[in-house]
Amino acid sequence: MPILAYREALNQAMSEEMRKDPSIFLMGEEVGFYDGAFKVSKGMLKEFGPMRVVDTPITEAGFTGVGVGAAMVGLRPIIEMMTFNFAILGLDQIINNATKLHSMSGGQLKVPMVFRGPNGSAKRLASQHSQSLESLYCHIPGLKAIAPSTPKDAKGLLKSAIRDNNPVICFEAQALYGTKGEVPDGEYTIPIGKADIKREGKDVTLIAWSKMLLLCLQTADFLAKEGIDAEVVDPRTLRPLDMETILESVKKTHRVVIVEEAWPYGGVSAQISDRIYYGGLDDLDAPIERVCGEDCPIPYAKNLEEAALPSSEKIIAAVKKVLYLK
Amino acid sequence: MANRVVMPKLTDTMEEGVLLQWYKKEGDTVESGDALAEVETDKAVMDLEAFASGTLKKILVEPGYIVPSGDLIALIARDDEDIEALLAKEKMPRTRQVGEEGKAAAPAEEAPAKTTSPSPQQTKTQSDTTPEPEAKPKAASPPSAPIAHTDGEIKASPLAKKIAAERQIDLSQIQGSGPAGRIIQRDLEGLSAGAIASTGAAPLNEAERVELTMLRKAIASRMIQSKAPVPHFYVTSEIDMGKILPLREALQKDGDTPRPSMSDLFIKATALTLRKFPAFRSSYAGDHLNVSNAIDIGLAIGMPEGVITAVIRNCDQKTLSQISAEVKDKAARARVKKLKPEEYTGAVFSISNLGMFDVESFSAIITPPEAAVLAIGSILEKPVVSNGEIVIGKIMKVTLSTDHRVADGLQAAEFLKALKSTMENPLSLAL
Repeated sequence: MPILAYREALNQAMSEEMRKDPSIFLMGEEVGFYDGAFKVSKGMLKEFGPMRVVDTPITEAGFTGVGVGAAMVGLRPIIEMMTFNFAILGLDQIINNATKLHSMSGGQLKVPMVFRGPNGSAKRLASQHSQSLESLYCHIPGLKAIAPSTPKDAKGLLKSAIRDNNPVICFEAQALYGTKGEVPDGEYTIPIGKADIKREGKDVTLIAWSKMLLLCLQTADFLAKEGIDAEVVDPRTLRPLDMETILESVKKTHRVVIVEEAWPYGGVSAQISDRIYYGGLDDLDAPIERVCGEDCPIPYAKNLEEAALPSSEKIIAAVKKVLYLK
Repeated sequence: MANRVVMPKLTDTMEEGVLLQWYKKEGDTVESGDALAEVETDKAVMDLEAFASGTLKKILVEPGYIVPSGDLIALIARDDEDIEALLAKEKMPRTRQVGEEGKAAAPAEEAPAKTTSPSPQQTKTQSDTTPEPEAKPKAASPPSAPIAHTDGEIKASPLAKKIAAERQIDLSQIQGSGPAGRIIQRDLEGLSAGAIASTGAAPLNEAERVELTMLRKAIASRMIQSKAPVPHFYVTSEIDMGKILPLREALQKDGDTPRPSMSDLFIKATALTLRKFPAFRSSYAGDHLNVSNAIDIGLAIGMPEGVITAVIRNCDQKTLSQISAEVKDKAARARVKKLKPEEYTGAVFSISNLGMFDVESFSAIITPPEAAVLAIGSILEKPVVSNGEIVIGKIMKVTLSTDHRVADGLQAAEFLKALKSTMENPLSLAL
């Protein structure tokens, strides 16, 4: 299998789908002449031209709304947010229009569109540019949310998102764009709503997505040296959650640590643990531990930023807690 | 300054005691050291002494009631001291009458009328002494207590509860190792179906209900703590008693030396063997062993309502006649429940002898935290081959139960071989 960078996998997903379906177009800041702020759309303007790869002014509320309108009349827009910190300006369009028009029109309108871009911290970008905001979006009915952690998942899931007839939001990460991994040759998709066991184990279940998944895999190696056999589950889709796979793992290990870069209050990890308590209570031997970002704006100082984010040390401490180890 | 009198915790295993009688009544003057009351613990009947001088101002528990260790049972104060305000702040003892065994200790709020004295002057103070609902619960016993379910609530992880239901294990008999004594999966490891039967079964028709004595309850609890978590294994060996029996007779004839019993001989022989086998004077402590250098051997003393282990200290340093005299004294006092706590706790190895009951052999249950127990059967006459001829031999079977976490079959076999050698060449015992 070819080895691709995460950004190349996303590029392939969009380009392959755009070649097949002329109603798909990409729109956002710097997606065209600059080849994307993070080079995800490299070469796409050249291939598809300015009618299908559209540079916008710095107007998130505006171009998100244009995208919703285009979707309502039959196009399939991909709206790239330079980061999800800036997408907050487009939140009104997403919450009040994209996610509601299908049900409010009694099914007469469809909004088949994708919002995508990087989420979370990326080393010393300070409080306003380091936020992990997936729980805000996952709260809203009518919006599907994906958060792939590997190039293979990124390509397969983004293709499914583009083909979906509902609005889908795709959480990427600046730290992931350069990561490489095997991507299958040829045509494939990964269904939305299907989790993946990234590492099998029997002692404890670690649940994480996006770049926290990579941290968990690395931590699982450290744990293995201490004789702790961790299973690492990647939900891949944050809404709808694949509870079947997660509960199957809980049934096997009886112990759960959920790792999330975002703040703890009302986080996606809280939602997952709620669903585990509901569906897997009798399989638990210890209360679920959540390792989240600290409950504060992300600091700019290097040492403070590192202290505010999940780390292997924090994950190992949580694992030992659920295993009742000292 | 008022002085609180509480139900004492006299042994590691004591969780509650029965107040048998008060030697003093309210208004009596007491001196520090005076016997205030007689209390039955799980092992013995003892006097409760006053720790302060003054007037016994208030008695909160009537004779015949069971009180958790640590709960207030009386107050000593100056004669003119007003104790009402103090009593109002105190949590009343959680008592239940002897015969109400099995019921959880009732908090004072639920049964105040029963818990305090019915005398008229006390009735007046009754309502004043009812504790406020938010009064913080009093620790009945320190966390080292073997099973900390005194509040009647069992804390177990959902998984542990599921496993217990599937295997019909009674969680009230399990010591949890998680936070705050929570029972977790590993506490149930190795427990097979029905090993600790759930008490949910309906009572048998027309069965007579016989209340358990404190001693019987203590035994039940201790045995489950042993058999459930301690992986026992058993090794049996035959000992030729041909030489030791004549020695015993000879010692008896030797003037004023008391005739040593079979138990005495085994205590001495085992003590000598234990010197060479530290594993059998160890206790398992999770990630290490605690090896005792003092060879303190417990001897099981049977009595009609149960069994108690009298402990003979430093057996390897005592002569056979010293051991013999000590065993006689302690056995006699054990049978009338007059052993002091330090005389029945803290053994490193135990011996149980049923030889006098025509028992060929049996296996004993280890008393935690000990690592082994020796079970002695009867001497049987059997044909044995000696110098190429079949003769009638005097053979005894002994069985060593060992904690497999501490030692393995090989060590157990070596231990028995050494013990057998000492018993079959017994001159060293007489030294």
